[in-house]
Amino acid sequence: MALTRRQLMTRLGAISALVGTGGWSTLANAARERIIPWRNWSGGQTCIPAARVAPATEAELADLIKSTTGSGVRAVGSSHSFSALIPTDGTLISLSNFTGLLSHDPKTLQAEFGAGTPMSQMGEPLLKVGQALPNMADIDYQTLAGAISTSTHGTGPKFGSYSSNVIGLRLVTANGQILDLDKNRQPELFNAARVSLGSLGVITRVKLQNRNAFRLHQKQWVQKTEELLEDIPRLVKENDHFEFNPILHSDVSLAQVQNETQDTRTLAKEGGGDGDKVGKLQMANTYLRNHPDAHASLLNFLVKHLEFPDVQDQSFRVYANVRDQRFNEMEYEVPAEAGPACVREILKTIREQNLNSFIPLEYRYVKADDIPLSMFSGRDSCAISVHQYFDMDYHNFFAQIEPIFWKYDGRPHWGKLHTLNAAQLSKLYPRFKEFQDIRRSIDPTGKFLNGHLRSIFGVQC
Amino acid sequence: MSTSKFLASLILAASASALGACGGGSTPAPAVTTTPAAAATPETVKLYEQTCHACHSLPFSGAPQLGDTKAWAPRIAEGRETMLNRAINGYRRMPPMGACTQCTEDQFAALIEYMSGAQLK
Repeated sequence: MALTRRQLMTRLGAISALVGTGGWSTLANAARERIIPWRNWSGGQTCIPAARVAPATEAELADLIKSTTGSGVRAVGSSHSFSALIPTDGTLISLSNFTGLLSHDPKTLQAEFGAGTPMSQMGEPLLKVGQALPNMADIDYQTLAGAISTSTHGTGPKFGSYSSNVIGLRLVTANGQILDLDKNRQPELFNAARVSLGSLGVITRVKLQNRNAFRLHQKQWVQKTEELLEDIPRLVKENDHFEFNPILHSDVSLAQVQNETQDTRTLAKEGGGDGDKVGKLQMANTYLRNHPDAHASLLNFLVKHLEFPDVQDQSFRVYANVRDQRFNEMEYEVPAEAGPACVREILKTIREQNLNSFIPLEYRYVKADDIPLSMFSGRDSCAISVHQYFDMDYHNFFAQIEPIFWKYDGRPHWGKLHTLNAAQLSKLYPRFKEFQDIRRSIDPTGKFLNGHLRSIFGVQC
Repeated sequence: MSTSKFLASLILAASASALGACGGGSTPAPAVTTTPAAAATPETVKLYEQTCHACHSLPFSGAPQLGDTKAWAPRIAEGRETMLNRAINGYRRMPPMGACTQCTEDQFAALIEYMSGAQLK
């Protein structure tokens, strides 16, 4: 268990006593403990919080929040956000003691989970009660609270983000109140809390509208990017889930469709991550990036000969992939109809300027919702992501691409890197003020704000 | 590596993939030398299941697996400070803190010892 402030003071008191009594060996052991910084998954964000705590109960959490003065109280899940949502010199709260399936209803196909449950640990317990999440993201490292707080999503024009399936949640507010929220209990606050960047309080449990458990078939293939772009209307119409990954500096993409199936045969996903395949792209980039024509020719040949076997299994075993090559990511959601033009311009810019990156783009579709701060608020969207290998500088690369997203009216993914502030975001979100008013009313002193959120919400220190 | 050697290795790799597809073969699971993990407190086991488990119990993830003493041995030989530094700050595919945002130094050490079946020195 990490030290609370009270425990820290107790230990310091004990150390003082030891100095007085000559207990130097114990003192040396205590002093040996290093200050441990928090870092996110990519290593791109870091901070040294005053306290890192993992409350055991909601009552303990409420007491902690109520007794904390100042700002910078931030809840952390799996640390998978690339943006600066977490960094604080205040109190960092882990939800690791709020996990697991808490209840379920076989009639309504609803289930409630602890908010700190990793998405990767929801599929099996749901299957045991005959349920499944309607859709899932490409990565399942996130915790449930982190995923809904940033409107994390999968792909498919008939499917909203994880937040769109939230039908209730429990929120611990700045004054230590524990609120159960849903469409009947404080509906405006509930709707805002479905995507809140952790700015309204700490979510401890989440109730989801699920569906019956189902099986999924996945097919992947390599095709010329321009052919795929021309064929998008058909691919989107004929498949439950469609996405593709343009291979940078090449003419080809990896396409993927997933469809529900009644076929009971299992084609298990290959073990391991994408490290070997990404490693080949990295080698090509290292040795050939100064020879663009040869680079493209080799990639066109190489990627077509990589193996992508079909997968068929329970849905949650098909959706998520192991991404064991760390990276930083920027993603914007543009209006669905603008997707092809936007990704064409990004690919053209990368190719013409020979920008130094090798991790494929990601191109997906997400259904509109009615949540004020969701990236998908009021519009069907196309999600386009660019990535940079974790130990390569991303600033220049992303700075070349971000203005393209702006040109297409893009909204940045809250959990991914962007440079926008309140002045720009308020123009992208028609209900920005509505959320701001709710946030100010429930956290008037800004207890849950850090520097990044002050910039996003336009709150002066 | 020269550019020509690099090209040859890439083309060979692609060819091998294609051959694999023709044969319909799958990659055999690597032989793993496992021993029971070191005695650990229930708290350490719980932390492991909440965090490290996601990769260190996933074959092919690249992470040394729970109880795979052969895979852990060269890492443990690098010493306590190096291992703790990598666990806390991240190293190659290992994400910083291994998702245990509340862990103390001693808890990180206990987790490493539990997974490796060896004592950090």
